Amino acid sequence: MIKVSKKFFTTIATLVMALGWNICSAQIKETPELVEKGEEVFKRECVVCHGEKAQGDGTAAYLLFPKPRNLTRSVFKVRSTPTGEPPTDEDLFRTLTEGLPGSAMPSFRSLTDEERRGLVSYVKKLANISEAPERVINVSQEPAFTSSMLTQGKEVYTKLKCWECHGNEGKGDGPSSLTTKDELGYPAPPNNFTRGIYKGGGSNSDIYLRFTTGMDGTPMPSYEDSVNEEERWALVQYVRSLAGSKVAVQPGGGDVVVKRVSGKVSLNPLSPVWGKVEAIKVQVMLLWQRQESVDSVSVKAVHNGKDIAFLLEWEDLSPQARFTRHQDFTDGAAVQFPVVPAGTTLFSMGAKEKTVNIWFWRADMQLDIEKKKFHDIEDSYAGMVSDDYQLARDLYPKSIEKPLIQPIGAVIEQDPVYITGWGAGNFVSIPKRKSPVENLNSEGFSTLTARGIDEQNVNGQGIWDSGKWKVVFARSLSSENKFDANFTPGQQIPIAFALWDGTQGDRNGQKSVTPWYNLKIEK
Amino acid sequence: MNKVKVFSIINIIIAFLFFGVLISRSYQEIDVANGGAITGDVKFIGKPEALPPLKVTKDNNVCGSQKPSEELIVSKSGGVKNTVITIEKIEKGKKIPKEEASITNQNCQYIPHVQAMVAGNFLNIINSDPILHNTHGYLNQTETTFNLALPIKDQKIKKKIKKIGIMNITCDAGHTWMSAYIAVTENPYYAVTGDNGTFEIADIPAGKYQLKAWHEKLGTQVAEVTVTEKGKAKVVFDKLKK
Ligand SMILES: [Cu+2]
Repeated sequence: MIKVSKKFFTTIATLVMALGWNICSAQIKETPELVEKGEEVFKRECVVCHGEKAQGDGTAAYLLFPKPRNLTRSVFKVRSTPTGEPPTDEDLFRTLTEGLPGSAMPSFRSLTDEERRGLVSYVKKLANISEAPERVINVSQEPAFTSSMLTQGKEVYTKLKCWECHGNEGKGDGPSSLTTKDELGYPAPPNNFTRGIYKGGGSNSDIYLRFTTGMDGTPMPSYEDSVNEEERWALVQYVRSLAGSKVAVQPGGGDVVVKRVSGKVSLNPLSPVWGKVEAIKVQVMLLWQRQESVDSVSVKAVHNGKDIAFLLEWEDLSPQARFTRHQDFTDGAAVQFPVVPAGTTLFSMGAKEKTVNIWFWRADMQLDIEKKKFHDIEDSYAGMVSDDYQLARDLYPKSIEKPLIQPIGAVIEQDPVYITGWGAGNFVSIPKRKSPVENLNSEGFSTLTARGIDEQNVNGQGIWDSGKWKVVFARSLSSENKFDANFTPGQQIPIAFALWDGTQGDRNGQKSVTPWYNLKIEK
Repeated sequence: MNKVKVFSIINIIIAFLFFGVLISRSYQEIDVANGGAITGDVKFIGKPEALPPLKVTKDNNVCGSQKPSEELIVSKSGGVKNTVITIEKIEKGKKIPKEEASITNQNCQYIPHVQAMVAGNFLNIINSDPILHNTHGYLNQTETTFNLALPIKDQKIKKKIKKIGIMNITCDAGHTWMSAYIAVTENPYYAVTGDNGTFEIADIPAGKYQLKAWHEKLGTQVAEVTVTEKGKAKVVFDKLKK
């Protein structure tokens, strides 16, 4: 009797196991240790945006559009499963690995496989996903491309009414585009296909899956029951053709090598010495999405054993250096390093006792240097006059010999007594600048701290040339100051980048950023 | 020997966990003989505000220029239509009918505006208009249950509704006025009030229950009801609150 039941149990168990394993082979084998690991990584990497309780309300959330996901609600945009179904483990793993282009979700490919698997398990726990999806959508065999697919694809695009949201030319400007909202009532603009930004990835099968599964929590519906296989692949080809060959990629870290050179390190972005250095293309991501943005910055780095210099180049067809009117914002760029490399925290401006050192170049400060004066109000409003300009030393106190009405341009010397920032020696306010780059520290949001004038040791120069900003940052390799980052030949230190486009209203936390990259300093 | 057996059982449990078929249903189906019933009314006290019609801003050739608001419909005698009445936490009772519910996009309105169904049953989502509707079901306001494009006239999509709660149906195809509700329940004891604001729920095993009324605009109210064998309990809801 016992013998029979033993055999029976073993057989059934093996059978069930084998069957179960077969169906769920793409699913991750979960252990309490893995979930624990995921929780640890989540606390380190994810809470700044997604929040302590994963409700999409981290301290950075107010800077981000689209908003970080509330992971406790089990609504996921990028899936290979029918609408309303949870994603597969592989879907989640892929989102972590590739990031979500067109959002501030970076690629986490710099984490280990195990860390990402842990995150998948932990996110499933947060989202209360206990059951596997009822099925996975099978991507059919892709037919070879023929140009007639484009014609057919456009017909499908019209028939399925894709244009109602995405517009006739795929620019995201269809008649319904102003009414589309996400699950929280925030605007959810339809994708502009001409930019090559695909949240769920840019391969043909990715695009196939997006309109087949729909994107839950957004107005993008599932077309699984509305279109046959042939039409699907035609639609994929047509949508792809709208962007040409462009496919946006999320930044996710990598190496930036600091090349050892002999001789002087040049501050001039156009110096031929830079021609000998290989550029590294670093993807950037906008925190607050808009229609136009730069997608990458080219980085070169050199050192000569004494000084280190970086050359950043990025496209900006409308340079903006004015900062005088309320509606004016300046272009800018910054590099960021942890003060203590071992204590590296998130790329999001450091954390308490994990101080980061930030070098901040601004186009308006560059302009002050070139003009050898403050860019003042009369530079924005040529020929303006003021009937009582107290800030001028030679006009005040008033006397009968001095006319009351004067063009401000006539002011020879301003009086620092009345310009308090200048009087106090604030780096941002001083009119006679030596460097367009400010040396700063930060320990998290809202803690950005200016350093005194005597601690401003970063030099630089920016030039707008051929539709690009070209900006050099330079400093000595080592610094005695405990709040400065140090660079040791033969070693590595994390580096992150940020760009501001003044014309688009970028300022402060409205910018493009990268996660940490690995700065390898040649010996 | 025993060790092997225990090991096998663990294996089976693990395998079941992999399948995800270890579903715990708290409602148990039984044959209900001599069941009682609850009848009642949902009343609006005072004079309801007249809701302005909804402006149609798209596809006017199919949808017309305006739609009557269905948010609050009160009869002359004060009966509130479209209130969902459910028995909360009933452990056992009549069989869950295997019937399919349906919601139709018709002249750019949802028909019906309010309904209830049991979780696990199917919902047919139908478009009888010659235009695109994007029917999006949000459970508890924010969780996508289904998000379906219906670009073809007379298209019908069948979807299993799994989770319990109040589902708001909206249209993402620019039809911002379109809205409907589906109450997804755990048990088959539910009713939706008709034009007169009345309801009846039958075949209830004798016992004490919590009866809940939900209305999209007025809110909820809970009443304690005692059902006796073959008896008829009467409940009046007139204090629904958000
Ligand atoms: Cu509609």
